[in-house]
Amino acid sequence: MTPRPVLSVDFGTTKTYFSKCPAEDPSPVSVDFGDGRDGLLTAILYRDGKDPLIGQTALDEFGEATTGERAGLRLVTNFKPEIALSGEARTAATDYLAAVLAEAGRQRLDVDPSVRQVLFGVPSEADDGYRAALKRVAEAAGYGTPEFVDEPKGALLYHLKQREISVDQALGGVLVVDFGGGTCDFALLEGGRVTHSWGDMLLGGRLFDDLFHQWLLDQNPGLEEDLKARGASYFVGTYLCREAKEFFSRSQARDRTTAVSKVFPRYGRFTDLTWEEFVERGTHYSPSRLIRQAFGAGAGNTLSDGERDLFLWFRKSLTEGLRSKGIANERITIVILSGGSSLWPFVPDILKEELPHLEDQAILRSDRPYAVISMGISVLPALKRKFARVRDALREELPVFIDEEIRPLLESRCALVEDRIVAWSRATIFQQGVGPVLERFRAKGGSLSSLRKELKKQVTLREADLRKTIGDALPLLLSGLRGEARELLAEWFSAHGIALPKRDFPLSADPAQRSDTILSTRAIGVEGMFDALQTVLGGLLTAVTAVLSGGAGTALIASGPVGFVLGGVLGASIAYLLARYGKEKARTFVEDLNLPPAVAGLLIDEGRIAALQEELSTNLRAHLEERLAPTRSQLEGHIQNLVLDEMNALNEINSF
Amino acid sequence: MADRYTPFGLVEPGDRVTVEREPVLRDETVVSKGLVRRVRS
Repeated sequence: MTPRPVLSVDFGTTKTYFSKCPAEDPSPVSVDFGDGRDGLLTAILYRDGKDPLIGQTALDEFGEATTGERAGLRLVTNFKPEIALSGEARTAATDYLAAVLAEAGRQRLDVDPSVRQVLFGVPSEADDGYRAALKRVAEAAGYGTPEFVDEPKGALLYHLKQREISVDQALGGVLVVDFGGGTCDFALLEGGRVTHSWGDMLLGGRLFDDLFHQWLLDQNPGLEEDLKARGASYFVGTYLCREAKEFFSRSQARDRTTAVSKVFPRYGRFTDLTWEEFVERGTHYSPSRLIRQAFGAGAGNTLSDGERDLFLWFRKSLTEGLRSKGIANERITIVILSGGSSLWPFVPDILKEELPHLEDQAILRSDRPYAVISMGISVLPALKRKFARVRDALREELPVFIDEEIRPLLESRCALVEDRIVAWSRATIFQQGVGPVLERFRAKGGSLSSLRKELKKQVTLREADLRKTIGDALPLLLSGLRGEARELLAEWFSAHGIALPKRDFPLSADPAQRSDTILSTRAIGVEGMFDALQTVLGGLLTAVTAVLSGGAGTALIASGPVGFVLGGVLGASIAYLLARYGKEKARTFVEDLNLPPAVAGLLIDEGRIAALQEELSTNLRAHLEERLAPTRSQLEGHIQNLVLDEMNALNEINSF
Repeated sequence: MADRYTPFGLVEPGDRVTVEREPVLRDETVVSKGLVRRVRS
């Protein structure tokens, strides 16, 4: 069956949002019904002999109506939570949703449900009764048979689609805070599923509209009576005060030290509104008669009078929910803010105070938090198809990625570490230790056995320094590797339109810090390095001894008058020892001989010293390469696992 | 008028309105719509 484009509906208690998304491309758009704002108020105004009005127009028409006009009007709001329980609420919901389609038709908006897959958001706590009622309502209103998606999941999907969170983060503990005009809902998602949800049916942005209305009246004595006389109370109290509130909220989000003023020609003015006074008023807020009447117009909830602290109300809604559900703070790794009221700067402030383990970037909010749930819901089918394609592509490209990108990277990082260690060994062990000892031997002479001891001592003396050098060089491999590998992975994932997993490679060079250490001085084999050094130095001495024991006579005689005498004596002595006591005795004799400087200089000449230095470097490098080979393949394995985990996570998303 | 003003509440053809806010224009292009309200008797 050919996938159809999607129409999604976030059917809210206060406001309802509609979004559309193409079948294959996760690019949702929020439907604008002509007022430049996302969504429509969930309100319907029945009028005698006329078609009902919906949305903000319904509320405004009722609010502006004279007492005489109101006789022919009936405003119904807050019907959405009641649809499973009340026939009147079901009728209002059906009429409202049908009127939305009619309005879309009048405005020539392309939202035809008959050619679309229709998805409705449902509150996470919605039971079967609610779902059945919503299905009946949607069908009767002309939306066909809808499918349901948990509302908080919409917010998660939106930010996933925006690549603001990675797939693995989406499967962690995500707290969605939906703070809208009329209600404040919380939901914890784990593994992409809602595990807990709670909320407050009264706490919403309209209380802040009311706060600003009271603030205006306080600053403009006599205005209330004046507005009443001119029939402008509703207009000023809702529309203008909401505008002022949003203006104030935006300016305070930028700078809370700025005072804000706003003039309403003919309707008074706000003068020098400060954050401090806003906090003071919010802390001691009492709902006005106007707002209590507005709450009374809907079914169910009523707002009692009396003072309350709006900030504490929000804080307690959060913390008491967490406590009563037994949710430890650490289970939450990401917070997503949705709903227009989440734009208030105090919202992230309180979240940071109550969830101090979260970094700033773990609290997400889109520029338009109003419509994220409906947009996220609409994107689900296209996102699932996209993730299935990405998963297949990652699987196919993984071997090539490892071979062409990761392997060369690992080789170059290992070479860097090898270079560091070899350069240090040359500069310290050879040039400061072995080299001067050999030069001294050349200048002053001595026995080969004492030279052997001295060389060994010079190497051993630097053991601690060598360990430290290796300890310092190894993190270079991991830190550089982490950064560069993540960059390559990010580029690869980005080419497929997904964000890089947040989790890091579980690797460490410090065994004291982590249990999953794969690199340590032990891994690189310090002891082995000493063996490699000693082997080369031992090889030098063996070669020199062999020269003395074997061809020494010839070599020394050929070297000149001194060598002629020495060569003669040595040759005769060694020949005697070999015949009388055997090879081993002869070797010991040679090594213990106290050689004069002239002979020492001839035996260990500058060419031999230079060759020794090169041989030491080559041997060390070979040893390091051999020791780092398993580490390299382990790192390859880690990166491979990271990609395999991501593929599994993409599978998980597909089960949403 | 609809291209220059947003109605507050319901405004139908023939209704008398008050201009609550003038539109903002630049070179005859609407930058920000004005606002009208129906005059009620």
